[in-house]
Amino acid sequence: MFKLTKKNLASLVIFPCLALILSIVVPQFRSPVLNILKFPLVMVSAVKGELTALVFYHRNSAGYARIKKEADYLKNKLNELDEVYLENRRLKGLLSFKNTAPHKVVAAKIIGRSADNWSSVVIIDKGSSRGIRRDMPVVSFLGLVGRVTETAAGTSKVMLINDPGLAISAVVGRSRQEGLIRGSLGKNLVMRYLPQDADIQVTDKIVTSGLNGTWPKGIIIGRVEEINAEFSGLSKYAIIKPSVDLSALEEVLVIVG
Amino acid sequence: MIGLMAVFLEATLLNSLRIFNVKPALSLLLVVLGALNLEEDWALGLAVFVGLLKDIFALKAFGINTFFFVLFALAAFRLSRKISLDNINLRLGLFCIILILYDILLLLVSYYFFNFSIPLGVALRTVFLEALYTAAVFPLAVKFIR
Repeated sequence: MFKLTKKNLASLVIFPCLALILSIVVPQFRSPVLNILKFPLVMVSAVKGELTALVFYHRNSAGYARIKKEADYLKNKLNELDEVYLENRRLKGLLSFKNTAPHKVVAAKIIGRSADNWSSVVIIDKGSSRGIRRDMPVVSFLGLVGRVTETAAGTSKVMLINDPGLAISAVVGRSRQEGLIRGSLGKNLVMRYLPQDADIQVTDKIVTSGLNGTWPKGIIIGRVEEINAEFSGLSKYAIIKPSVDLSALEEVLVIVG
Repeated sequence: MIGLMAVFLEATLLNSLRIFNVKPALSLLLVVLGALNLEEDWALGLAVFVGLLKDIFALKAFGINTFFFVLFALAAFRLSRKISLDNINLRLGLFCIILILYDILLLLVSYYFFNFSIPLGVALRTVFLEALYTAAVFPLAVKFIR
């Protein structure tokens, strides 16, 4: 169908080769360009936020009333917990237990997401200039969000927990049963490598095990929605609903220390 | 400018319009339309530019999108010179085939070279929904670009 003339051959070979060479020679190209694109990305995400606020005005208004009630209730709970915390510290002191230091975090806004349908990545507006490094864990107030995979001076890329490229060592909060959590690009996660007799139930809380050192121990990942047997029949797997709504995420906290 | 806008839309606003976690592939749509309407050098230039931009936002190996975009732009350009693709339905059909091929190739390359694996059901759902969703916005995009 195509005649293999010199010009055709040149186009067929030169352009793909040029693209390939460009991709091999300049992988560092990505971070500086992402830095340049930061400002327009911030602008577009701000416009998107305003548009969403206008479109969902009534829903937001009802949500505000509900959240205000919740905030009052939580303030009351917090006061109670302050007392418990002080008591806990006193008792720990008596028992000579080591107090764990709270994590140092950097708050960041999400300004963009992956442009394709094959990865679950967000771009945040803080980078290496704020102490963010590759592989740092990212959380929100509700639980685990993901891991930093690339940083530039003013932006970073975060791979979310529902990306298939991320595996998280996790335990069932109640029974301490271990398993490995992986994403599948959807809303839910899959916890695999659970033995047939694993002590796991629907609504069980799943937290990070802290075993591989990437994530601090005890960060909530989600709750068990469903438990099924693997096709081989040798083990079980559980469907986990993340505690964080990853599709509606707007702000995150990067644990920097 | 339109290339920049397409990738920007994919990275920002289109995330609010996802259906089953899938958004339309505007950047590839632009590259194919460019190949069908522009001169060869311009079409390939557009493919390189949009591919590079998409690679900046992607997580996988830098250059995959650039490479495939150039390849498909070239294929679409050559095909359009051999057979008449003036009918919008023919163009839509060609684009859907290219999009499905692109997704399958991307998945295969990611699987064999980067150990990226997702359940077959999720992959098939994403491939076909992406093709359907992009086909639905195809007439709009054609009008806008014209």
